Amino acid sequence: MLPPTLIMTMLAIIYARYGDLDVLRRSLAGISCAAVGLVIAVVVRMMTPLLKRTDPLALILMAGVFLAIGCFACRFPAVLLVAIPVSVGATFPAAESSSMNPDNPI
Amino acid sequence: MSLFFGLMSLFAVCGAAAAVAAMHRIAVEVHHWITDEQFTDAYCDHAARARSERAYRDLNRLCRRRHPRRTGGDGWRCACLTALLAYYISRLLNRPSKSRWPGLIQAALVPLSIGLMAASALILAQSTDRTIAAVLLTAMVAVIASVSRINPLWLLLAGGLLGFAGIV
Repeated sequence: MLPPTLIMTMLAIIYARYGDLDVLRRSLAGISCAAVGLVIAVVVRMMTPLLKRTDPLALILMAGVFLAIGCFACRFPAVLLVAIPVSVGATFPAAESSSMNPDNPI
Repeated sequence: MSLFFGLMSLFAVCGAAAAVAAMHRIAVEVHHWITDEQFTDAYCDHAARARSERAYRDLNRLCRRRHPRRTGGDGWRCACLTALLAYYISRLLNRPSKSRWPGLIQAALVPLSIGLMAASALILAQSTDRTIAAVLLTAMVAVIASVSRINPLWLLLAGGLLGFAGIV
């Protein structure tokens, strides 16, 4: 735990002092692209089970939240205050039916 | 600012990574507390540690350092309140019981978390991928990390080297 913390603290100090250097800026630009790629990979991995299950309602909710926050820049609390009750309300009937049919879990 | 970060910590479904898009919107676009570049640097600095919660915390600190007057004395109270609320909700959901509601709520949050994380990825990509080489690097890292179990640090190192060489 301590060595990574020390390394990153050192890197933060270097960034604070030499953040405007062209070499550091270029390197950070490359790291930024890779970091975004890693985030996309996490999204893909999380999305795969959802796509395999082909639950249209879950996919619509996912796309709705993505569009609202990512494309239309809607307010974060407002989106969640709408999306969470809708998602819970939509999941409840599915859970009810799956409890009656154990072969088809949520 | 305290209220914003307090609310964000309460609403951050599936961790701070899901709230990156909202943090970017408020901190960069609405209030201009930090620049787009500083936001991306703060996030990517912490991506190396794969702890986006720290990115959230340090982003909070960065904003506070740059705009100390906007942080009221009640900041810690707001943070404590939301942290306590989040803690008790978490305890409630993890409590062993025969109730189906905790599992139901967690199942309901899965698609929302993925949607939020995808939105975060889009916002970050819009900030970083401004050249074709950058888009290609992002796409390659996404594919490699999706299909393999390679340590992400190697991919970050490769990105840093490509950036250093001036390719990205």
